[in-house]
Amino acid sequence: MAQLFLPRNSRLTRGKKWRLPKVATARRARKRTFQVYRWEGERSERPRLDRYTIDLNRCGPMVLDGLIAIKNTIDPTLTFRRSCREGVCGSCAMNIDGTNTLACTKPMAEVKGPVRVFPLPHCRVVKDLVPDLTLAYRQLASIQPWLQDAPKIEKIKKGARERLQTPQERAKLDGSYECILCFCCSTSCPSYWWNSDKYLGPAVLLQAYRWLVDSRDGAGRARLQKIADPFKLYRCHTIMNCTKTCPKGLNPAKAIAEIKKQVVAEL
Amino acid sequence: MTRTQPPHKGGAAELRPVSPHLQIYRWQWTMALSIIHRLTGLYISVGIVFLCTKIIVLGFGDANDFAMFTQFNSLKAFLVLKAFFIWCLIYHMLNGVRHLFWDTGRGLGLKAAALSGYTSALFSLLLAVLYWCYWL
Repeated sequence: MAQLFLPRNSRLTRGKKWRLPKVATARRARKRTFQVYRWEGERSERPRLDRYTIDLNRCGPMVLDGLIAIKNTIDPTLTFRRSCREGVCGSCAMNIDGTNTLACTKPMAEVKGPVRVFPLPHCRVVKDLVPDLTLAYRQLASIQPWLQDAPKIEKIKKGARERLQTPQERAKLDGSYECILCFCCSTSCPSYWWNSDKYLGPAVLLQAYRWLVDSRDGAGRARLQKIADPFKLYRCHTIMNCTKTCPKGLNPAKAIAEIKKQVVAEL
Repeated sequence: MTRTQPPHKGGAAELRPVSPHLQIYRWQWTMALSIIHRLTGLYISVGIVFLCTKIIVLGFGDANDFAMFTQFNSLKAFLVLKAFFIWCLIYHMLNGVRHLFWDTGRGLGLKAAALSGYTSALFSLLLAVLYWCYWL
């Protein structure tokens, strides 16, 4: 059942206000306010919304730059994931200004008012902006995201040539291989919020589709049989929050529709 | 690591807070149109049950039984519910067509989906107004 409200231990409290540390600079500070979700792993405490002020003169343009500035100059206990800082690793996925995106590719200038930052929605929080994605990763493993084709592999062992792909066949992978598995889409999906234990969610289904349309893969039917399930696949109600929020501009909703078509046509 | 239960159910993970979702997610046209589809569906199913009861009473009851239903007609609030029912029915139908179209794998781009969504919302209102003018 959908739990529309947060459990008692998850409700936000008013957090601390952190001041901009005084630094001797020639230019006057260009202030920007951040409101950041904090939970420091103390089971007895509820999460809080801390307010920080940063100086844009001493900070890069992206939301991630702002968070790094906070961590470096104001509050070193603030915790978040980040790695590539250019939108290819998917680590800094979080909810910024109400929608899920990558902090490293979201300019602060696109946000009006205080920059509000939360962890990916409806996840268990490990600390601050770090969500527990164990379930999502396990769901990804469940669709076996690797090339499977027993007969063809046997042929290769016997000295047949490698599997080639025409440019047309390869083009079918466009729009799904680019996914960086940041799980912005899955955690933007209300259907996934209510049924994340059973529904695979847009990110994983997009990956499932990526292997279904790969001309080199021979396990298509088995793959389809595995996911053609009232919950795993059909909890998608084409809400399209996934496509709306994808920081890479991909279209998981379309991929899911294509999977549904394949189920009708091939099973 | 073998966990038999999903990490957000039972065990130590239950003690972790759930990150806010509906509370903080900025309202999107995508989710708005979708939840309206659901709510209108809910409302018409209630309305249809009422209609069916009325028809059954018309068939099997006597004039007094049926009068039970006709007395509603004099109520202003009932008229509003009825008018709302008409709009719900039309919106749900138009949006249903949209869903059928999606099932063919078309119209799933953001622009196309927004266009079809707003169109069905607008047209449902137009058709409902036409119906109200004619019928109510």
